Amino acid sequence: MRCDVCGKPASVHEIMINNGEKSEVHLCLEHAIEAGLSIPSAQPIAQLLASQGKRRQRPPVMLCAHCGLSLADFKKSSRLGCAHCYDALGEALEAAIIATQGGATAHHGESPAHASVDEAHRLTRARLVRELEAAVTAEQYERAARLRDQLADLAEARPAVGEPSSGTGGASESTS
Amino acid sequence: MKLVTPSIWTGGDGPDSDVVISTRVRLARNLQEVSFTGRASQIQATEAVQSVERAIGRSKALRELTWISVATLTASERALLVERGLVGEHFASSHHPRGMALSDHGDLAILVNEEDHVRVQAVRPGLQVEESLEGAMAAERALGEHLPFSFHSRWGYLTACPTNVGTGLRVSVMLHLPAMVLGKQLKRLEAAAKELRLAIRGFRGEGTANEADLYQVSNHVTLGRSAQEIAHEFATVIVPELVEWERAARRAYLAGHRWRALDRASRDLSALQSAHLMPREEAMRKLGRIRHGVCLGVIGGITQAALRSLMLRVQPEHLALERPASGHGAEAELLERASLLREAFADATARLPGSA
Repeated sequence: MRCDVCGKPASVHEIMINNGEKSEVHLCLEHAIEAGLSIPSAQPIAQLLASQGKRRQRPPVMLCAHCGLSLADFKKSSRLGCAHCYDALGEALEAAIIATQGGATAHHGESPAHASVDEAHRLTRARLVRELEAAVTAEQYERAARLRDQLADLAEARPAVGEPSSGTGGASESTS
Repeated sequence: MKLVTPSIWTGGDGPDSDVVISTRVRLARNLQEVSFTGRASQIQATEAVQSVERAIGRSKALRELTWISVATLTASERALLVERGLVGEHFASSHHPRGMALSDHGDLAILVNEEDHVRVQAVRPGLQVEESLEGAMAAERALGEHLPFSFHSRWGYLTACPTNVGTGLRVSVMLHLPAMVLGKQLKRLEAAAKELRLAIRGFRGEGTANEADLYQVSNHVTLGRSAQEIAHEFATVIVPELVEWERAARRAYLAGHRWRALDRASRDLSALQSAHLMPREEAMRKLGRIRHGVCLGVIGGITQAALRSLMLRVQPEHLALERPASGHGAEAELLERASLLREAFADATARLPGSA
């Protein structure tokens, strides 16, 4: 059997029976992980999990530095952790999205209206406060100082209504 | 707590209601700066709930919605929401901070901290895809004036599951397909679904079996086409085609099996008119078959609207609400359900179509 996505030898096979009609999915391990396929009884996945267990002393494979989503988290739930994951997972996610979306490669249609700047401001502030508290707890004082500066800048900025809200990094574009 | 029953259960029939029970449109959105619900801390999840509640309070268009803090609901109230199809089991029972806002007729709901921070859903009776989309979009735009939604220059609206990314749109129509089931034509439906990238699910959505020959058909693809384009294709091409298949199967069944249709209808009706202990599953199966009989003209004395409402009234929590005695033990529930159905079908009759 060959992988439905890339044609390499498939190691994960899923059989679905719906109203007596059988359909099969064959994926190589790499694309099975991308697709978030987790079948308790599937041998390759079970083997992979077991081998992870043996290497427990190693840190988990981190996919997104922003929310801390690990490969194991993603495999378990097939869900991303935050807006930044979309850029953090890069090409692997891109290929999976295009495959599941019938070959579509980009969004077409509606985009957000101008949201209230106040609310964007408030959410940014809340995030910076959370990160500041975490930095202080972890005794990362340089980082804490940077975050404190960002909070001060934010308080000074007071953007006028109608302007784009403060940026949130590459993944999540603001309201423009 | 004011928990209205959506009018899709209690109101009149919509367009093409012989086959299409209801239409649901859902838009998924997430807030900037907050991790998706599955990875959000309690603090972040609370922030999301507060942000949406505040936005609803500030919006002229949404201010009239009833705000419900899910944590304050009783187990019974949560079960009512699940039976009405307003929320999933997971949302109802989750320990995460959650909220929802509901319109007076129950045709619009905004859920906070489902899989995505915000899910706007609109439901209408019969086939009303574009009308439902309009309702959901209007609410989404009103929220968007106050909430910064996470939006990516390439991927569009970002969602926790990458299969919803782009428009965040899920259009779902509930179809009653008894004649296609009898005619063993579901394979044809499944082949069409595969080709058109549609999902076919049971009565209660993902992972559920079909009940009463009810199937939910929805779009898989959420990226690369606008919400309006997806909805337009559903409303004008996909669903009308499926509706015609079912209608043709019904005509063929009636033409070839008049007496069998009458026999089935008479037996099903007798069971509902005489049973004293009625399990939920059997009630749903019989209600689906009776609905088929009404559409074929072999059963009279009961309306489609009444049948639709009975499909909700026979569910355990609704039964307990309407007939409190059913709340005491398994047998009491079966007794009350049978009693409800005997009363509802007292005036219903079976007859050969075309006869007086």
